[in-house]
This record gives sequence, C-alpha cells and structure tokens, in this order.
Amino acid sequence: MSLAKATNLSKTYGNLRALDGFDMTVEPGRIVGLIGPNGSGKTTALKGMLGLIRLDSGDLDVLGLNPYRDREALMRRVAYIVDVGILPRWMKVGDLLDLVEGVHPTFTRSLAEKGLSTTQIQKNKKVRTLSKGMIAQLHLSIILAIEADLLILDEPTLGLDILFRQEFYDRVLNEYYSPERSVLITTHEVREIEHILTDVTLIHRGRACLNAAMADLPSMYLKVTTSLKAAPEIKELKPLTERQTLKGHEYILAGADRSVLEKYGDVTTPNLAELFVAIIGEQQ
Amino acid sequence: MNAWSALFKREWLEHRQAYLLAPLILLGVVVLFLATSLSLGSTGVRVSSTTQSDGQTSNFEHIGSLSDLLALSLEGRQLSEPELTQLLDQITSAVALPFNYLFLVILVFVLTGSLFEDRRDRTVLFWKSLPVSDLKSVLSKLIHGMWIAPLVTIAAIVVAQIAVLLMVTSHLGDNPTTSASNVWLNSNLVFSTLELMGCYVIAGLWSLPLYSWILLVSATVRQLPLVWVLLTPLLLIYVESIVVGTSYLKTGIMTHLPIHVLPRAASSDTAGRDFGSVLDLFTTPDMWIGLLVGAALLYAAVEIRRRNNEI
Repeated sequence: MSLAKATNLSKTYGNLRALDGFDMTVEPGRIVGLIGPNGSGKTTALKGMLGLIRLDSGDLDVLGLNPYRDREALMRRVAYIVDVGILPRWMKVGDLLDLVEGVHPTFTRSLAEKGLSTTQIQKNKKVRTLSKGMIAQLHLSIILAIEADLLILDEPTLGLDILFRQEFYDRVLNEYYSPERSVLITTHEVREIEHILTDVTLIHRGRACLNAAMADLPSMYLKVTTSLKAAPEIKELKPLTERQTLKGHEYILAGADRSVLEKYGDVTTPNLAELFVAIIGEQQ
Repeated sequence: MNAWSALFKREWLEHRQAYLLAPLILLGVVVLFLATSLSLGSTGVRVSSTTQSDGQTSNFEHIGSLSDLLALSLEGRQLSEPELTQLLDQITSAVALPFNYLFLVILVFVLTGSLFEDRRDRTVLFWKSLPVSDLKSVLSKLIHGMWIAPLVTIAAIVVAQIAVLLMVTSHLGDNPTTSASNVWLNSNLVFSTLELMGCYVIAGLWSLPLYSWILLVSATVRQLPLVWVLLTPLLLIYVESIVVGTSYLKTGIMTHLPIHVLPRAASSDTAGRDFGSVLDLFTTPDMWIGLLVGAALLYAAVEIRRRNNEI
C-alpha cells in the first residue's frame, strides 16, 4: 500500500492556480524528490499532504488519513521540516525536548539526546543563540527521534553551508531511512540529492509532468553529444532540447533507441537538472 | 508529562516574563508606597460602613489617615469587630485591585499575540508538525491565560495583603479591638484568597466571548492584531447606534468585562461583590448567552487557525 497518494489535486489562491490536477504517489521504502521551479506548486503540494492547507478538489490519502481533517493523527506518523529555522527562538533546547516528549507519543528522547551529543548544541541554551546550521541539526535530531513512516522535507537545508547540507542528508539516510519508511524531499539543490533519490516527480505549473523511478530514467531519456554534422538526423528524432556546449551539440531525447543514438556520439543519461529543463522547455 | 501539561508549560515558558515580572514589580511598588505613606501617616482612606449588631444599626465613617483609623479611638468610640472586619476587607481588596487590573491588561496582550506571533515568525509550522490538534492548541492558550496564569497574580496579591496587614499591625494603637491577633483573625485572608481563585475561574467563563473574540482576531489578521481587537467592536458599536439606534453590543461588552466578576472593595459608588453574587451569575441568561457566543467565536478561531499558517 502506498504511504501517500495524491490524485488530481487542485488549489487556487485568488487568481493563481497553485495546483492544477497534481498527481503523485509515495511507496514505502522510497526517497522521492519533488522537483520544480519557484512557484510551480511544490510547497502547496507538500502543505496539502501535511494537512496545513485545505485543497479545493482532488483525492489525497496519506497513511490512510485525510491530512486536513486528521492532522493530529497524521502527525503521529509523519515528520516534516519545512524551511530552515522555524523552531521557537525563545525556547531553551531542553524545554523544547520536554515539550515534544510531552505531546508526541512516538518521540524517543534518548535518541534525540544521542543525536545532539554529536553536535555543539547545549541543552541549556536558547534556540536564538544557535547558528542557523545548529538549529537545523537540532530540528533534525528531534525529527529523527520520532517513529515516523513518512518524512517530508521542504528546502530543509536552504542557506546552510555545504558541510551542514552534506551531514544533513547523510543523517537522514543513515538514521531514518529503511525499507518501510519513505522520504519526500523538495530542494533547489537538485544535484545534492540526486544520487540518493529512488523516485522523482517533476512539477510545473501545478501539474506533475513526470512521475518516475530513478532506475527507469536511463531507459526513458537519453542525452547524446555529437558534432554539428549529425544534427539534422537527430532533429528528425524530435529531441526535447538542443544545447551547444564545448564538447559539441547536446540533445536530450525521450523514448529514443540507445543503439541508434550511439551512432551519432556519446550517449549518457541526462541528470535531473538537464531533464527538468528539457521537459519543461518542451511544454512551453 | 501528558500533552496538556506539556502545552500549559509551553505557554508558561513563553509568557512567564510578563506573568511573573509585572506583578513582582507591582508588588514592590505597592509595598514601598504603603510602607512610606503609612510611616508618614499620610495614606488617606475614606471608609464608610453600616453594620448591624444586636438589632442596632451603626453608621461609621472615617476620612483621614489610615494610621489614625487603626490607632483608633475615633470620634470618641472604638471600632467594633464587624467594623474592623469590613475595614480590613476594604484594605485588602484595595490592595488586590491594581494586581487584577494589571493581570487583565497583560492577558489581553498575550491572547492578542497568541495566534499571531507564531504565524509571523513562522514557528506555527513547527507547532503544527506536532500531533496536537488546532482545537487543543487554542484551548491550551485560552485555559492557561484565564485559569492558570492568574495564580501568579493571586500569589502576588496574597503577599501584598500579608505585607499590608503586617504594616497595619505595626501601627496599632493599644486598644483591644485592634490588637494584632484580632486584625489577623478578622482579615479573612485565606477565605478571600479562595474566593479570588473562584472568581477568576468564573471570570473566565463570564468573559469567554471577549477572550474568544481576541483569539479569533489573533488567528485571522495579517497585521496589527491589537488594533483590530479594540477598534472593530468600537466601530460596530458606533454603527449600531447610528443605524439601529440601539446599544446592545456596548452593553454586552461592558457587562462581560472580567473585572466585574473579580472581588472589589465597596466604595461609595459601587457595591462590593461577594462570591455568592458571582455564583449567582450562573442563574442569569447573560452568562449562558455569553457562553454560547464565546463558544461560537472560539470555534471560528480554531477553524481559521487550521488553515492560516505563515503571514
């Protein structure tokens, strides 16, 4: 059974269609990247799944619950970090742990303390005295001490330096991820998470323009780098994009035959950023 | 620790500076003021009372310094015990009054910010990541504000009252009615403190429509919540008086101010409230209409809280 299933979600803010028939599924044991430009509806989709907003229409099932109606029950089994630095700054670290321990039935305090012991964070310090990176570490330590089935991360490392970002995702992989649990991530830094994703959803103008397993991408999309000479023949294969680089002409093609393309030049699998530009470019 | 106590502790930690510091400062001011003015003999009091004992009505009126009054042999006679009780009641309730006002002002500020500040600094996104329903989180703020936070103020009042009684006993003249033990016995300190607690509990229910209104505004507006809290009713009162020519809203709001339910000293123009008359509020339609309106406003506040996140 999927952990989260969104079907045909729509949400309008005034004149803005933030979601316009959005679909996606999160199966157990997956790490799904939700990738899209600013204003594409990523955050709206995640907020819908977290029960933070009421959607206009569509079916949304997260862990068998209606998120907006059952947020309290949902949050026992879903953990999330949206944006960096949303922990209450007036609170002391120790009081924050007391609070989560008091209200969260699946929070294991010793796990959180263990996580914190690897950092510079002291429990008698107020959150406001911590650096941005330390606040992210603290939040992650709390989240990882919750027995959640689904972890949702919306730009969790925005504005952090590279060391923190790397450590952040390492901890998510090592301390949270398991065959039963899934992670749903959005970030601008696609390159940083690309290698850990098992699935990807590309979102553009409120719609999912690609839902695929990362393992299937090589058979779906190919990138070929050729000399100018071969260009007319490749253009007949209707490439999604064409780009001139130092190495020659690059084309990204959907559903092309690898052996055919190999005649023209080096064939590789496009990375997510390239793919994203190609698919969205084609839609415009 | 269960969820409710964790939520109450959260509220306390966030607002303890206001709830703790303000009455402590006031306590210092009150004690200092009384100490200096009593020792200078300059605390003026106006006390009048009518007491009945043995079928005889005696009128008592004293305008002048408190120390004179206590040293008493006033106007050629001594205070009777009922008069002493009444006098002490007035002194202790007068001491309590500024604390109650201060608390209610702080409460208005705290409730006004309670569902607004966390939207502004986005911590609402963290609060909502906890398995706490919006109803529970709004209720925890309300209950903490109207029933738990007053305990600090009540404690400060008791300390101030003990201080004033200590000062009174140190200024006693040598007459038997106003002996130190009689003053303490007649001061009703324990009973009046319990009464005050009871009054705060009932004040919460009595003023529920006002508190709920503040929460509704706090959950809704994008800026200047205090302005909305205060100006909207004023505007509506004005509109009502112009368009319909009535003043129901004004009367309703004024009637439900919590200060009316808290014990007050009787003075020449207002009657003192005792706990019995506060309990009697439950027999008035005003109480039940207020509770209904309060519950409706609270429901609206919770529903808006569910969908309003960052500003």
